[in-house]
Amino acid sequence: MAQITIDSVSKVFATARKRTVALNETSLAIDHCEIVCVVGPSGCGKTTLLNLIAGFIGPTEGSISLDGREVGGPAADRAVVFQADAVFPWLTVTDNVAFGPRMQGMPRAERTERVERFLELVGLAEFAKAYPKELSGGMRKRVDLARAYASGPDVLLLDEPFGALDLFTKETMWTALRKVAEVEPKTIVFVTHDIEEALFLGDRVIVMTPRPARVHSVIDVPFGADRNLDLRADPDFQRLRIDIAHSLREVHDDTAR
Amino acid sequence: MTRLDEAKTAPAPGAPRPAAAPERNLGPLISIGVIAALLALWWVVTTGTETVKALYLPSPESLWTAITTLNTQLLSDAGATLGRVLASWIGGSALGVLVGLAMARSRWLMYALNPIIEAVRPVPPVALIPFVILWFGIGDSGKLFLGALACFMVMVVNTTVAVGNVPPVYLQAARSLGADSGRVYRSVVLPAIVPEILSGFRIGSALAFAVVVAAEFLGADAGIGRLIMQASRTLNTAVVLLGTVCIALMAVVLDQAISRISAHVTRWAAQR
Repeated sequence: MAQITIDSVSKVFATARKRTVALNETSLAIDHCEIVCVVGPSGCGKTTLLNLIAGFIGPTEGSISLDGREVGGPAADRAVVFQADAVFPWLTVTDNVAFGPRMQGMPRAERTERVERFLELVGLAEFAKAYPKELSGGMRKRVDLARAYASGPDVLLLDEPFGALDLFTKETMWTALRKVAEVEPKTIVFVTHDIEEALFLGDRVIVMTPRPARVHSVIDVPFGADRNLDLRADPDFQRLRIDIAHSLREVHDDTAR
Repeated sequence: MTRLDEAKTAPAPGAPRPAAAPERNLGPLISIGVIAALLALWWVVTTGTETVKALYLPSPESLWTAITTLNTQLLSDAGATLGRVLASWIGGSALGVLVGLAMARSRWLMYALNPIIEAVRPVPPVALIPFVILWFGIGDSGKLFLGALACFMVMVVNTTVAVGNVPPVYLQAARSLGADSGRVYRSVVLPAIVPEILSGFRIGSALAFAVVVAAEFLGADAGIGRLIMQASRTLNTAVVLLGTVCIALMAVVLDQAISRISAHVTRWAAQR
């Protein structure tokens, strides 16, 4: 249904003074309904990769396609949840979640039902009539997630969505995301610099390196679909975490030299 | 999913805000107290002790006498001024918002109009009064033009800046939720700029009063500006003061009305 193919994609940002290679000949295939987490230090091009898939920017070289169709710009088949608060403050929680369906011309009755379903799923049903300013940061993030889901995308792109949240809120968001992904499987690309977050959420973890920004290694996460927060104490989890931390440090030392 | 702890601590929508601290309730009392004290001081230095001559500062009683003598004339002058202010404010602001939106949308229009606006903007509208009298005479049209020009300038700049301030992440989110560029504009840009537009309206309304009254000073058949000017020629300072108070009252009422309306319209915005 939604496979993402990234074929030797490079992205160069050029100004009069400087030419920055934000992403260097990166190839990646992301499978249907797979959750892929991309980790890397800041400046490794992970957000660039996400923006390319979203279609906010175009590649300098190479191509990105979704089920064989080349990505030409942002569209409703790829919903994005940003790190910044992108919930529309002038709309109520309900109207925020209904935004995608409304833009796509879905009939009112169907829309209402859909909105209710996703608000229920992220645990915000009783805040349906609230304005975002009345919600906490974590709740707004859940509105954002529900809004992305409700627009019916094939792919969900998350750019450090929980980066600004405290650990406890983050943990509830992880559980919420895994739960939603279980009920409504989607192809998910999740960008983060938090290794535990990547291992807890991902089916695969992509480790990226900065300068030149490209894929360093790909790790298959062996924990299956049923995960709880205690998984982090598992020796296998810790071993993987340390492995990834090592390769990120290696990478960092390489560039520091 | 079970309700999360976080949800329990957040305020429920529509729940009453926590009772204001006692110091908060004191606020309005302080304001009223200061006004009352100033009024009392006014009476003391004029009628009470006659420290200040009536020419320099008329007494409260003489102000009252002025009101009763002028009676309907005061009302018609106030009405003339208020009418001009409202008409020029609404017309100028509306045009300003439209042109501002167009400029924010079209690079060409921005290049074409921005230099003119930036050149005219620093000129105080009252400096144009001599020309306006030459072009329009001393009737309503010149005053409307000046008031509208002042509001227009405020709103053009205000609107272009407001559009530029819309967080890009809103636009990207809307695009990825399936909105085409027209829809992004109507459903994201326009609602997002409402708070800034309304604060521009407030600035414009005060400016419209200033400009219209100033224009009335230099020639008008009716209006508070004319009333003040005429009274000042005969050293009737009670009427001068009355006119000033009248402007202040009208401006405060209009400002309050706008601020009430905008508080309602932008109830979604975080408290500033």
